Amino acid sequence: MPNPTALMIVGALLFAIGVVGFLTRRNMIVMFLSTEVMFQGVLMNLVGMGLLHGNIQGQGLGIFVLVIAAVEAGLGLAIVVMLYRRRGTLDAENWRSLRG
Amino acid sequence: MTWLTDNFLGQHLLSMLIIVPILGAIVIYARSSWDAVFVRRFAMGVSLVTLIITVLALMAYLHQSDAIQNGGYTLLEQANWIGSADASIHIQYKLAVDGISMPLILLAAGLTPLAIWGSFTSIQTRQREYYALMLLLHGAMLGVFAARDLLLFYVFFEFTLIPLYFLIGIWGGPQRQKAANMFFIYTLAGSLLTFAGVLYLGWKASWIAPTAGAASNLAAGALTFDLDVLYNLAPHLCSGEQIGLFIAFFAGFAIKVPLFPFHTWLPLAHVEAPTAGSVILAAVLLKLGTYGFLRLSLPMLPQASIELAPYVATLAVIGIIYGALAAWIQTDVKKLVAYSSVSHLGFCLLGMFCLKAAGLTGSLLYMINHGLSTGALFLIVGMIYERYHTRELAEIGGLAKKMPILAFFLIFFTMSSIGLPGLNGFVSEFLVLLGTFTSDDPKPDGAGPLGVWYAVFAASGILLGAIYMLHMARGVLFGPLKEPGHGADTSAGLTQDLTRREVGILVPLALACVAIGVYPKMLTNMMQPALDHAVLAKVLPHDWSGDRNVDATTIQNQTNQNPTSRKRQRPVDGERTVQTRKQATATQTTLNHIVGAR
Amino acid sequence: MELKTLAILIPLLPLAGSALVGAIGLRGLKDRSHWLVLAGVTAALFCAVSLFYQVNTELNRGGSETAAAIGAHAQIDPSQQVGYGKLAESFTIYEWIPAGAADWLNVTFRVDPLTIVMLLTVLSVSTMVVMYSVGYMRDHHGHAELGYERFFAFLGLFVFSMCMLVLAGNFLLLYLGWELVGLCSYLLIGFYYQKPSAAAAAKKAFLVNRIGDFGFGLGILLIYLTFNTLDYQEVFNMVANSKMAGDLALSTERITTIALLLFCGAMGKSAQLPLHVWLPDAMEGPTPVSALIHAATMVTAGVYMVARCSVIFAASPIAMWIVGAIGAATALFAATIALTQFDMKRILAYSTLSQLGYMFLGLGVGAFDSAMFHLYTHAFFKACLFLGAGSVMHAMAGEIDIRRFSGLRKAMPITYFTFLISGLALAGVPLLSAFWSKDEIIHAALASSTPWLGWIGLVTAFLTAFYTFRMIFMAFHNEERLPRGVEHAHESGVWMSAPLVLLAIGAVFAGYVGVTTGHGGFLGMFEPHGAFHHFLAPNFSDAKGHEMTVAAAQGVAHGAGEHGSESHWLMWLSSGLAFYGIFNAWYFYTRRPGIPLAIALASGSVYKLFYHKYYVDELYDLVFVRPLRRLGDMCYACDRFVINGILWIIAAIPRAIGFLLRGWQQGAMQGYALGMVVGLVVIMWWVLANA
Repeated sequence: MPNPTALMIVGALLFAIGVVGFLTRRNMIVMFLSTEVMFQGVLMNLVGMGLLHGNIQGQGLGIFVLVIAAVEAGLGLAIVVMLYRRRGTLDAENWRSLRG
Repeated sequence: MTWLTDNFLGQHLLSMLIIVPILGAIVIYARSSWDAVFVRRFAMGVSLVTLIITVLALMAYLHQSDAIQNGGYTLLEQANWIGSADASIHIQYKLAVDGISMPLILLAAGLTPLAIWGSFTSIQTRQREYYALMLLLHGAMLGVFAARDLLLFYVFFEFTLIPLYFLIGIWGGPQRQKAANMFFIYTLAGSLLTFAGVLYLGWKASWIAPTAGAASNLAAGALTFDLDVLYNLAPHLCSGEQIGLFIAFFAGFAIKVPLFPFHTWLPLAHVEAPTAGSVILAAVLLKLGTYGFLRLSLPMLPQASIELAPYVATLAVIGIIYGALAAWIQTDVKKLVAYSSVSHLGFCLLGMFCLKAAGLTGSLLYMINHGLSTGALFLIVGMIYERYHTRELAEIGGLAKKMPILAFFLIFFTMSSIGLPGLNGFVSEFLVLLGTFTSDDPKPDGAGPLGVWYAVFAASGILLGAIYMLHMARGVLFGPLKEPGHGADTSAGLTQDLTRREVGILVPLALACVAIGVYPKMLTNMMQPALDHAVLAKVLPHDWSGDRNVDATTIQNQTNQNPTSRKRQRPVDGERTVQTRKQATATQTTLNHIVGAR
Repeated sequence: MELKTLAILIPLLPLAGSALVGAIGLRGLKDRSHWLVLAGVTAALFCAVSLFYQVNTELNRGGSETAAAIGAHAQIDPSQQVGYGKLAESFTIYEWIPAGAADWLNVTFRVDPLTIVMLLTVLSVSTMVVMYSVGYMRDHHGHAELGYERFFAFLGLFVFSMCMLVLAGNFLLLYLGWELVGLCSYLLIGFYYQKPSAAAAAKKAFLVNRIGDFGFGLGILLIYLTFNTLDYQEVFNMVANSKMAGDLALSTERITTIALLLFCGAMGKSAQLPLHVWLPDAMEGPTPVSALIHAATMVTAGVYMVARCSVIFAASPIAMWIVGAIGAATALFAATIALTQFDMKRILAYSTLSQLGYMFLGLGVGAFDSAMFHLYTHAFFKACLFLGAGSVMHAMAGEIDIRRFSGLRKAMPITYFTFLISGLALAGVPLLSAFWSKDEIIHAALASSTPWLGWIGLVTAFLTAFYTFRMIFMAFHNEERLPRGVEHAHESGVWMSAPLVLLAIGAVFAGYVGVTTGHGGFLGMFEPHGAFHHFLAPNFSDAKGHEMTVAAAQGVAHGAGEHGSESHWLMWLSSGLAFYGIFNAWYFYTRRPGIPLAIALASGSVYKLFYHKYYVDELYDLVFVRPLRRLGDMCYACDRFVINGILWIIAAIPRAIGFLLRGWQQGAMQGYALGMVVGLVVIMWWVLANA
């Protein structure tokens, strides 16, 4: 029986690592990986909460989210590939068309 | 009539009315392999099937003698849409027709096939999308008129914007994008305020329903938009609330109508829209605004309606004169007709806010008549445009020589539009003016908020109407022949004068105009009890509610008698009976009997 | 046939003819289109005659019954006759417009003596004109003109509308007929739609009529507001008892307002003074149309309407005064213009204005039956004059200016004689129809409280004789001269001549139904007030009984008996004036043709004023049309600049906010992420701090 607190601490750590990675790196694949790490952090938190409250829904939702995340990762990577094809680089600085 | 209503389809006539065109639209859009000719025919067929269903619905409606004589609604369909009666939210899919919505459904269902038929030659690009959007628009329009749940009404009301936005934006004239954007944003901006009003009403109903909704089977506190519940809210709204709500509704509906000074999107949209778009816009979509006033503002917010009626009527009268004068100086025929709509719809609102039986009947009839005659005028202008690719009065003239049949129809609908007695326009115009003129007279059905002078100024609109319409007729038809250098374009299978198809489009409209002008009774008999019951009784429910304040059995008995024998006697003191409205409305709730098909 | 069936058939027969011609004329009938309309109108005429006999029988039977009931020699108030009371009740055809709960405005017909008089006048002239048109609307080779079937379809529609107008049993149906004849007038004036002047005239006619109808419509609304009904008899009964709906007393102001508003409509339709401008221009239409619509029938609708509402008008002295004054003013004003015009049809148009002015003068002094009598005689001789002018025009290849031709009497004998006879009638020469009717009106005016109206009438009578014979002498006498391009003048065919002759016979003898003989009056034989007045008496008895018109009424109703020889000086005077006018015209235009020119030059500005029709058209253009047009420009400008400007300003608010906020959007993804993280931290800190 894992300790819910431990799970949540790990989750928080993962999330923090993801945030820092996302903010500091400019390579889009790495940024994408960082978001995935954040995602996993949240997932750990979800499972931990499920344990804390003693119901199965946390883990159920976790599996559900995992599936969605897998699908979404495929989609995200496809977008990254498309972007790379357009500009020939993965530097996020190149995509600033939202600038006002 | 049991063969009609005793089966599943017969019990869902109104749903079919909405679903058939929308399904048709989906089918057309999905079948990319169909060629243009088949797409047109299919769209026409779908709209004709819808018309047949409408006629069946009319037959079923007319069979409900109770609904006809007491003005209740019928062909009821009810299902939970979001939430349920025991949940905290109860939004229903509720459809029904009464004497107010039935004529408008007939108008929409009758005009759309003609508009589609009229597009056969004028639309040459992206036909699949075009006809799909037309059918989508058709379904949405019918939905507005059939809805008996405010949220459902609002959804359909807003949904009509989308197909028309594309119709104008893709198949329109040179400035189509500007026109489409202005039309969309302007009307949407107005109706968002309306949406706020709708939500407020629903929220208010959720905590008043237990006391007010005697007629409904609501659980306490459910958020509901059922019109039958909302109609009974009025006594629970203070005058400030009513005025606020009225203004919220006004924002959406007045822009849609359009009432002066919110009309500037209309000429632009009309000029840029394709012919069929203009026809549907003028004939049906503008009526959504007036219908909204009639269906929602007046009966739900009676006190505010009476208080604000003089202001609305003033704007309407200004609109009548202003629209007419602005129409007169136009050089683009289509813009001229568009401005005439501003003028005509002023009459429509004036008749509504005079709060007399005559004025209300006239107003509702005006909606139909304006649809017929202005729709036909737009069709004719479109026919000219298809041949000459111009609508400028400076470039065309004397067409009567080359196009006698067109000349006949143009003169005919001009006369209908300027209210020549014997044609449809006169009946409604006269009733509106009669209602307005006698508005503050307590006989025969209670004093309304307007007076003689509104009618006097409005009547000058009739004169101005003749001026600009004859100006147009003279410019287009009379004088020496004048046409652009390239002459008539007959490339799309047209002939110099109207083709049989085009005559076939205009003849039903002309026949309807004559029929309504000579024998309006067939429509007014349907309208009047419904207006009495659904509007007048709720706004000015004075002493004559006593006459109606009887239990259902008495009403049943009364309906067996000649309905005309119930001539109401009213005291002549002319005192505004707004004060007594609260108690009267309380008694109203008891007789809010629902005449359902089931 | 039953009275009701006949009354329904009368409008429907011409309508059926018209509708058939409209439907199959272009493809099937072509230049045979006239048969259907002619058949419809003639059948309607026979129905009207049959109706006349029925009504007459009913009146006499009713009269004798009443007399028997009261006692043979008792004085009977004609309106109390049993027969008339039955006739005055309108009968419902069907329910038309709902005016509120259980209150219907119906399609009702009323067949009483006034209706019959109008029906007979309208239908007999119509029959003649339709016959005439068959010849007129063809070229010299007998080929139908372009639009032949359209012409007859419109003509049939017009007869239908006019019959509806006179048969109507309530004000709303009257309004229907009123507007429909306006439409037909519009369509027929604009028959030669390719001529810009015709198109403009058609529009002008319709619009000026609409101005009048604006008042007329308001009058109808006010009647409904006041009496809560639009049925003639119910309204008249209430007015006669000075009651409003709900037994309230009827104020004089209210009834005056009603009468004046109704009179607005009459001014438009009958082209009285301020609204007369459309009628001369209406001569752009084909001549048969001018004869039928703009001389004999439609323009008299205003007179008919005032006569129909005699009870209402008689109840308001002010309204009566205004009606009479406007009538007299129009009579004089139009006659002066007619003196200076050269277009034959325009002279006749101004003469029509003038004669209509007489009718209103008669109405205004309470001589309703005399006005109707004049309406009836006028229809024949004026239609004949117009048709004669049309015959000349046909022969002169469309030329109608009397300076361009002269001496036609040899070449066109039938036209000349019929024109001459009707001209004599118009001039008021004794023993012809208009003499009796015009004289009665002047007599009634002189006997009324406003005798100056009668003097204006006398002056106008002189002018009338002068301008009529100015035209006749210039066109038909002197040496023969033809316009360029016309080799020889020729008489018209039988389709055109027959109606001319028949109408000329009418112009001579139509007056004799309105006189009695054998009392030793004028010329030892004739007294005014014959069968015609007797027939109409029940219609006007209510109005006559009213105190205001009592003096005039007595003057007219008993003129023959009580005034005796005293009234005959007027007949001598007016016939003298007529002859003097004719003599002057003869002297000026055949003996000394230099005189008119000298007078015209000498009177300079006055002549110019007459010739330019008092500059009324220009005045209207300046005072009404241009300002309204400017107002329209202003409205449109307001739309484009003011309203759209405000909209732009409103739309600019979100745009400005967006402009201010866009600086925050640097576009880098990580910038946004940083913002989110900072926001998250702040929220968490806030949550934890408050926990």
